[in-house]
Amino acid sequence: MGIKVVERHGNTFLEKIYLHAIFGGMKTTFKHFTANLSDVSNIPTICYPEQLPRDITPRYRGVHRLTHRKSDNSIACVACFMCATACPAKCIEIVAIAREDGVDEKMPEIFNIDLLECVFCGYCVEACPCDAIRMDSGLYSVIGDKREDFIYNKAKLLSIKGISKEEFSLAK
Amino acid sequence: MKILVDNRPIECKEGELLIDVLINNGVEIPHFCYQQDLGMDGNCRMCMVEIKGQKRPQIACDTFVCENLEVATKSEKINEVKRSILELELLNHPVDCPICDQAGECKLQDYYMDYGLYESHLCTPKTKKGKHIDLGSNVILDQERCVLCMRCVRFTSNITKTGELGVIGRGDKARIAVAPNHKLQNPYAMNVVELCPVGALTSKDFRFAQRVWFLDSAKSICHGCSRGCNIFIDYNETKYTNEKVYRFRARRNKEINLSFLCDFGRLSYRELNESADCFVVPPRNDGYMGSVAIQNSDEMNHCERSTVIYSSNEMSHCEQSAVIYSSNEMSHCEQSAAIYNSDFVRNLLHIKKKVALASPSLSLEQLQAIQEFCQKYKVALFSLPYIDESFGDDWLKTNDRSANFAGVKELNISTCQEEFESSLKSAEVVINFDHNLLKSHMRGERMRGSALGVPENKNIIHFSTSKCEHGTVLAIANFAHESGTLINCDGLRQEFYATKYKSEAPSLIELLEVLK
Repeated sequence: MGIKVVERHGNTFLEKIYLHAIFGGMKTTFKHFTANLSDVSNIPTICYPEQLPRDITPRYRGVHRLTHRKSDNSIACVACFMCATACPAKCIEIVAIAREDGVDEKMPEIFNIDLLECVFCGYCVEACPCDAIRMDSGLYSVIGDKREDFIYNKAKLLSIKGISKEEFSLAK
Repeated sequence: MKILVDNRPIECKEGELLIDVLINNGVEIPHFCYQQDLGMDGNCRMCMVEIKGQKRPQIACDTFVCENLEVATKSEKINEVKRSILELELLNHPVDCPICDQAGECKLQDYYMDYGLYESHLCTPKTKKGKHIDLGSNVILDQERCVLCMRCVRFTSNITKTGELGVIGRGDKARIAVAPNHKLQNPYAMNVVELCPVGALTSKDFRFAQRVWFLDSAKSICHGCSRGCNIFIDYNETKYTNEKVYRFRARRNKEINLSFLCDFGRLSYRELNESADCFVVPPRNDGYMGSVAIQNSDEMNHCERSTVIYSSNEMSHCEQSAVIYSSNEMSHCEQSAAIYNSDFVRNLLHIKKKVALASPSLSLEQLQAIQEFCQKYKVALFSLPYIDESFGDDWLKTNDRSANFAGVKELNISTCQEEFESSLKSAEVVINFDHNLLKSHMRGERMRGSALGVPENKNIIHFSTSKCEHGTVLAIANFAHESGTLINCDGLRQEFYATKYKSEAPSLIELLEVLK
């Protein structure tokens, strides 16, 4: 195997006083600074999370929501536990009760998703036979002061609106 | 005698039913109407097999084995037959598996996965029938999910001979029903839930409580009476729920209960959850983690403290420290400063004149440990049966409500009530090993079934699986957390096994070891 001898840099006077390289770097910085200052609307940086990214497609998996039935706007979920079974993070807690209003026989009494444990894999959406859980909320960042803020309960999940054109559950 | 099943020789006896031979040898044979303890009916036609020399497929549940029988359980022709039968069964089925409690243990689901036709030929609307009809005795009927296998009908007509259930209507209108203004009402009614291979009959008690695929099963024995019916304890512990027993299921034992249980025994799982709940120690902020908890009850005099003792495994036996809580923490806070440890119990054990009463539902192993313990401390040991003349019947239920009274007799533990009562009168310390007689009544009150009250000046130590109203209570694990041996009323020795989760309370044998 041959040996390639590389010339060692940094030994000349100009390199030893560093100023040449510093001015080179500052030149690039000031070039961007003046460009951004002259056209403020075109700055790629955003104030996240107050500002949200603009280049996210509707297929992106956001925070979950529970859908409603088209017929009477009631909860579409029947507490079949398919999502909780499919969930690799085990972040869905469901307690089922009998539904007394005649629309269906079963519904969740408690439906909590722990978003701190959720890995946003979308398996729950895939597993749902009732199109009752979706991730089309358009919410990609969740903010909270304490851990409890990240556990979304049934009422919270039902109140989230979807951004896709199908608002209601498509299950028959 | 040998027969050939799918080119595999199987040993069997002349005159046996082919389906029994197949089931007993682990050959997969789909069936709805056949049940080993109900016998054959031959209406579902799912157990079709091809027999060499016969033109058409035959049902295995109506074929008796004979010499040189050659059977094929899997072939294109058989699968086609099964697919057609399943298509017919599912034609009007609501396919509401998401809300069906049977999902996960449903034969229709299982077989359809194997032989199903995945597109419906039906172009008219499905026939509607009754849904969630409360039949009584904790049984809920969904007529749309029924495959009309008649197992439930045969159970009520042949086994209980009460005949509540029948089939009404013809064709696709045929459905299971009770007579108008009648209810399903017999002490074994809930067996139909377990017999039903699909979700037509489900339990009201288990309704929506848990999905079956989350449950674990432990082989155990019902402790409701001395019959010793074999059961599965279905239980689980999830991330969001503590360990809980959800139901008992019958475990087939040809010599005792076949595949059946009485409703009383089936629902006695509730006691296991209750007893576990009443010993939960509230968390303490001062970091005092330990083994002894002292509980004050408001009804009690301040100086008579009820003591609950836990022993923790992490701690060495000699250094048992204490956690104290009072049921009314604010007003009794100066009392809760008192700390007991196992020395308190040890001191009591050195008082002369002691008497012990052991529950006849404890296992042989536990009773043996109690015997050794009592010999060491020179305690007179007794055991009294739980006799309830109104409980027994001519089938599974017995009047003796203790699970192991035959075991008590085998170990020669005294069962004489008069002797026990006279010893109790003179004793200063009473040790109760989970016997119900001493658990529930208050001091000075008369004991049930006895002319004797426990006088004021006695110290009572309870080794108990459930709440006791007075005395020093040492919590022990209930039978769901124990393995052991029981002897039933017919002298059959049977083993039962613990669930896989550890009880918060120690087992009786461990605790006696600590106190020795």
